[in-house]
Amino acid sequence: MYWALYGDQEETEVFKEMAKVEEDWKKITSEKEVQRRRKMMRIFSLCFVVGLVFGVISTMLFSSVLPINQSDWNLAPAIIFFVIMAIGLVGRSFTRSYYYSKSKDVLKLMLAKENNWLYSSEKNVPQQQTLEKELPELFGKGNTSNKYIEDQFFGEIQIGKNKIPFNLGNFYYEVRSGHGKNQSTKSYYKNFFAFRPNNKLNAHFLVSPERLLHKIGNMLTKKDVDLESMEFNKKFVFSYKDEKNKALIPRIFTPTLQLNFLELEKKRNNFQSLITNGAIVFMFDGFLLSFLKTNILKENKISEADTAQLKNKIDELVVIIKEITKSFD
Amino acid sequence: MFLEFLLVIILIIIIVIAIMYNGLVRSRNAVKNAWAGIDVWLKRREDLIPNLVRTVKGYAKHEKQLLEEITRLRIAMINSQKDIKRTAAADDMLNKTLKSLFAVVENYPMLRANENFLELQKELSNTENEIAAARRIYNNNVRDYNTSVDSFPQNIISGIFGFENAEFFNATASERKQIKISIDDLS
Repeated sequence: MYWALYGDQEETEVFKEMAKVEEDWKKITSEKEVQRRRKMMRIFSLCFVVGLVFGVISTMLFSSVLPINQSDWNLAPAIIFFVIMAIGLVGRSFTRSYYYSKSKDVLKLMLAKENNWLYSSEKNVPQQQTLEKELPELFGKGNTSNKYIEDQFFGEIQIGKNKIPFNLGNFYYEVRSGHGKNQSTKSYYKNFFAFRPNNKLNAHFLVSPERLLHKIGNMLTKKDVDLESMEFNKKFVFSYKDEKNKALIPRIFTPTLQLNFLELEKKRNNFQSLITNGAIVFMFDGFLLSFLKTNILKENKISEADTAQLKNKIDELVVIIKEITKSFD
Repeated sequence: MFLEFLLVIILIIIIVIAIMYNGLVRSRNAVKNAWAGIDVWLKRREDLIPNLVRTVKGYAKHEKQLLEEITRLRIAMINSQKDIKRTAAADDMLNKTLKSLFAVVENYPMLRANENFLELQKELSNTENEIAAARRIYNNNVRDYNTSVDSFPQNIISGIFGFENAEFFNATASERKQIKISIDDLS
């Protein structure tokens, strides 16, 4: 069993998923598939170019830009050519998007295998529901039922003599606003990183970016905790339920941890951190991995820059874990 | 009408002055708070040193001079804690001397295997890291406070109400020399 945020992860099903991703990748990178893919892309490119060129010419003929009798032409050929162009365009986009998504899955799978972790790309709604119930501060977002956790890693990180279990993944939710015709739905992706420190904490508080409303609220209630760093106090605000947690905050947030949070804020901007009994969770905006350089359509392998990007993002978080676990020792 | 207008202007000026004054007070308190934070970690190190000296003495009798220097530097730190520059100088020297001690301890395998020593070394290493971080935070707060005191128009308010620049937690060679003289006097 691997540790997961609120509930352990059984590995059998995940191993099957990982094996499937690996199998898909072997097929995608096989010589036969590479040839087929290149042929398909050539066809789509040809459709696009032919459709565009002849579509434009047909349109010009119809609109009698060229010196030919207009009644000899109608718009049908132009429409057909533009449809061919659209097929080429959509086909290319869909193919790129499909292989981009596969590349992301394989990159994560490779990292997981290298470190003896589990990786699951599947959407997990029950886990999201549990997390929403247990950690509403972070997972109680969105006002539609379309929410889930996906793209998860489960594993352990070595910190000194200790092995610290962690779970990271993407959290998707939607926010619906307006009524009737003016209704709109906006989608959000966040990525979370949770780990279980060795020493059990008897704490529960949230660290969030400080906004104007927090500043005004604090002027009235004086609830925020001020630590040594002025820069930290300006950028972050603490939310807690009782005085016991308030007293724990200066003990946990040592000068080194304050500086680490400030460093992380420069790299990752808006993030929240929940320190709770049994786990410490970070929630960041966007995907864990963005804008891959890997282009399977050009080169049949994962780009080293992408591997480095993923490793760096995880290493940044490992530095924070080291500091937090020191505070709790 | 003119009187009302004048009253509004005066009120706005008073509010602006109050905001600037409070900002300066907050910055100054942040500097004091950061200094108190350094103090906590310095005291923690001071408490660890006697135990370290006792443990090392039992195994490394030949390092008597180094251990005595550490003890004298500890006393110099305690004596200089109201003076920021002297504290910074003593901290720099103590940090350097402790690093020398840990380097020398490599020659004593029995000591390196001692659980108490290893625990102390880990604690001291963590404490040194926290002192370094606390110093950075203090100096950042001092920089922001001094910028507020010196910048226009806050420099008018700081001049009227007597806000002075704070000192950075940095030591010069002459301050380190003074500490060296003071610890030699203790021997």
